[in-house]
Amino acid sequence: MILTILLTCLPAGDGPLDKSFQAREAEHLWNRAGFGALPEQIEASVTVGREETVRRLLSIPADEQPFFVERFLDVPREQYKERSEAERNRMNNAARERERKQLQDYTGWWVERMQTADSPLRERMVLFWHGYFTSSVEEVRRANMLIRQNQFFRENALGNFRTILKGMLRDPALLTYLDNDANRKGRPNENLARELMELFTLGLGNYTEKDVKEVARALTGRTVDGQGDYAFDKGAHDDGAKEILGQKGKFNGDDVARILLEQPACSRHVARRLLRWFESVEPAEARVEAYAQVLRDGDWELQPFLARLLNDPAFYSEDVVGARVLSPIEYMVGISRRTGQRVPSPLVASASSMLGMRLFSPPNVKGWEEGTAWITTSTLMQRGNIAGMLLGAVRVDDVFVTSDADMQEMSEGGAAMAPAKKDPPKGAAGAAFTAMKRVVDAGWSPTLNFSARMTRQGSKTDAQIVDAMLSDLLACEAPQDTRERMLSYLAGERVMLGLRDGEFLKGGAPAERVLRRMAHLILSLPEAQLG
Amino acid sequence: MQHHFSIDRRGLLIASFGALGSLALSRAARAQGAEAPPAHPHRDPGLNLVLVQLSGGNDGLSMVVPWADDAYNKARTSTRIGAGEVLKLDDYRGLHPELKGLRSAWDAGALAIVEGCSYPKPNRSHFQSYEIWHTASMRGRDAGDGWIGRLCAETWPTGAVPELVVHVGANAPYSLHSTRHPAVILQNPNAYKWISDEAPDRSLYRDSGGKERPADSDALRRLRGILDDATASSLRVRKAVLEHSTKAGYAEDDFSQSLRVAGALLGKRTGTRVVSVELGGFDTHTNQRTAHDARMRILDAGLKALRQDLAESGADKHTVVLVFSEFGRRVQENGSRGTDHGVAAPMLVLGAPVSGGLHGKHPSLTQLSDGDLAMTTDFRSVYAALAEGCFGASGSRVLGAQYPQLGLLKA
Repeated sequence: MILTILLTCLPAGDGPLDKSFQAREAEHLWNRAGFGALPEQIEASVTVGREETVRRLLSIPADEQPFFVERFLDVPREQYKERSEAERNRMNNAARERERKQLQDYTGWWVERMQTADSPLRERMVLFWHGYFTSSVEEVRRANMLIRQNQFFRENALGNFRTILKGMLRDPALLTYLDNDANRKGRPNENLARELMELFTLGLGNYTEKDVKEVARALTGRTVDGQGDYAFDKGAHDDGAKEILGQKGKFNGDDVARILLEQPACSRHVARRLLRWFESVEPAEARVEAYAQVLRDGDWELQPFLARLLNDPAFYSEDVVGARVLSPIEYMVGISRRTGQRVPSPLVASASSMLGMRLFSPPNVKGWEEGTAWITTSTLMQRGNIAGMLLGAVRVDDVFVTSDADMQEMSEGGAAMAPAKKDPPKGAAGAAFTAMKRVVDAGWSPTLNFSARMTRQGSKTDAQIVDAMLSDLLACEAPQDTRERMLSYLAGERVMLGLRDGEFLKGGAPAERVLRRMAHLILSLPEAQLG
Repeated sequence: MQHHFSIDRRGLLIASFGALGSLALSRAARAQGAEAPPAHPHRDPGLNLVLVQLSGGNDGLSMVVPWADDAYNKARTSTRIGAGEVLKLDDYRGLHPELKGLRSAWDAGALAIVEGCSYPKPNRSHFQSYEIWHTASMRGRDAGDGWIGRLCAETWPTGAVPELVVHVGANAPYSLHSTRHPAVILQNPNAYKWISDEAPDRSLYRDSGGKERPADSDALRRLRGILDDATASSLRVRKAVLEHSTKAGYAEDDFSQSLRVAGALLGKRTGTRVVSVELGGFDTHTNQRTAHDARMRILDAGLKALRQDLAESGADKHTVVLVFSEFGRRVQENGSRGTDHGVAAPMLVLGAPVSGGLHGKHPSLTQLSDGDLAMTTDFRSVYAALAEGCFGASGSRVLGAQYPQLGLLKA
């Protein structure tokens, strides 16, 4: 009996002496269950061990004050009707502008949470659900609906999938995004029904075209009222008999949720999506089934699923560690989390938009495509430029317009070119440019001090400095050839400053400048896009 | 290393031609296989291809309108384009009223309309259907590279500039996915660069790729390859766009601006042979008419500007534009003034090398398949015609099967 208790208290192979949970594993856990961590956080996790770190990540309560949401379009209809057309237009435009501003503020607040919240796993799961039950501002238009949807994700991020699914089938933003507000008896609109089964619950091949039509009928009447709240329009609901996935009855939306959750395909679909999100490699079928079973056994609770996954040795395997191509948000929030330098959230949000991930505006109902699709010839270079901007090594203007230096580079080996017109960028890039410029013009500048950091860590020689810089800035270990190139780069710059190996940090401001350039280079590397 | 050397040499070649003020490289010099003869010798007709993807499922019946068909007029109420407003092509069909530029291309014999395009066992999922269109295979991504990727592997087994295939926009379609010739992808040409004022930093950055270096993982190897392609093409692409001048009035929207880049790359003979662009917003489940009208206006304005631009640079004689979407929409409206996902729809093929007019067969509006227009032309016949007519590639090798000849391009 006593022996049993002892064994329970000190599970073999875990705890402070666990050899299978060292800095590499701890950093991986923080990368995937959060957005990366400072070296001291990683050290602390190694000390308390894997199970305790996972337990803490799962149980940290949300530490924020909720964001207050206003509904700007609430002009009483009677009052609105009496106004002239010009006045109505003015009211509408003003409301739209307030809505736009509110969503921008909320986005900033959310990015701030990602950078600083004590509960990074919750923030990461909010991001997951945002890309899962997608709704875009382009179609939804009303900020308060999108913000309330996000607040719902926030409350339920680590909760229960059944609750989330049922909530989404009453969510004003999703119902608007997928046109269910237009899904009426006798005039069904299939948009929500199809995506519900294809993307949210079952996956292709697990339902028929007939099921799409029948589910659409069952969902009729679920709509949004003038205040932007969920409403059930009884008159628009088709209460006739339906046949869905082999079951017959006068089904409504709640029945649809029940029937879908009963399908084994549903638990497999959700398990697969979660495994992909955390591991970034395609899971084997047996593993999907094992984790689907965890969802079923736990009555759709997410905590047991996540606890098992984050403690699973396979999660720490060679194939998984470092295999994730960081999304733009992960890349930038990661820089902030790993260096401890908070970056103004509007800068993070606008840079992320430029790199293909505009929060609240996923490209389509499937959400953002994860993985290698994030990195293109263009976004790879742009990520480096943005990192350079955060480090004070790149000017925001140069990112978007053709500079004099560019002109000179382009003229090399050929005829001189006419001076470039310095047109500000247009379209989506233009919006990002304006937002970034506003932050920089407001006086923001980087506060990182790499020399102090290196001194604190006791790094002196070229090799020590390169190792510390690579380890602090990258999410996983750098390849040997990269380390060698960085070493010869630093040695070259040190010699230029007339310093001996071991004395580099005595170089003052010029040395600090070299370290910032080196950080810019490191964050521009292909390696820096992985985690 | 030989691979890198040949790219650099090619870059030099282009630069020196530019310096001489030569307006055009000879077609032979442009042919990418010139440096390293392809394993299967073929005659490359040297045409360029511009892919225009209308994302979301374009309502074909609102683009090429069967205005005289009773079934059309009965099924469509809020989205109907009446005989009074349609741009009539004949006594049955006409173009959407906003497609005035395409209408003049039609009059000039430079617009081919391929009717009733789809594939067997149509899939109404946006994503699955796009995978089929992008890979030309019912297996979608499981089949491997995209069809343009396979086309390039077939046509240029070795030696081609990275900017051989370019996507202008945020997300490249899977059709360009290629293990051998990954596409250059850019949004804003001015921003297509890595910035540093310091020479040693630029040099270290350029040296940070290296697809031949041993890498710990496939992901890293792939990213290093992308860095190689980026550093090799950055300057050439920006230079081409900056130096290109045109009187064509491109609009300010992202779609027109992406075609402007296409016009520059093709006009400047950068070695680019395929350019891909995207226009979204076609998933019109509600209040379709206004939204779709606006899409047609943007589409027509962009294509009109591109046509003029290519005519100015002379690239019009060597360029074919293909307009397609993942599926058409249901014949019957859905009751919220919109349409749900359907099946067959027309593809447009545009350009001087095109044999203008109607191709394929218009699907019946009364003999529907599950409420949808049935396929009369497999879209892969169009791909086959373009693979052969533009690049001299074997359609059956690229697509893995033989498809009926369409006679889309002039002999």
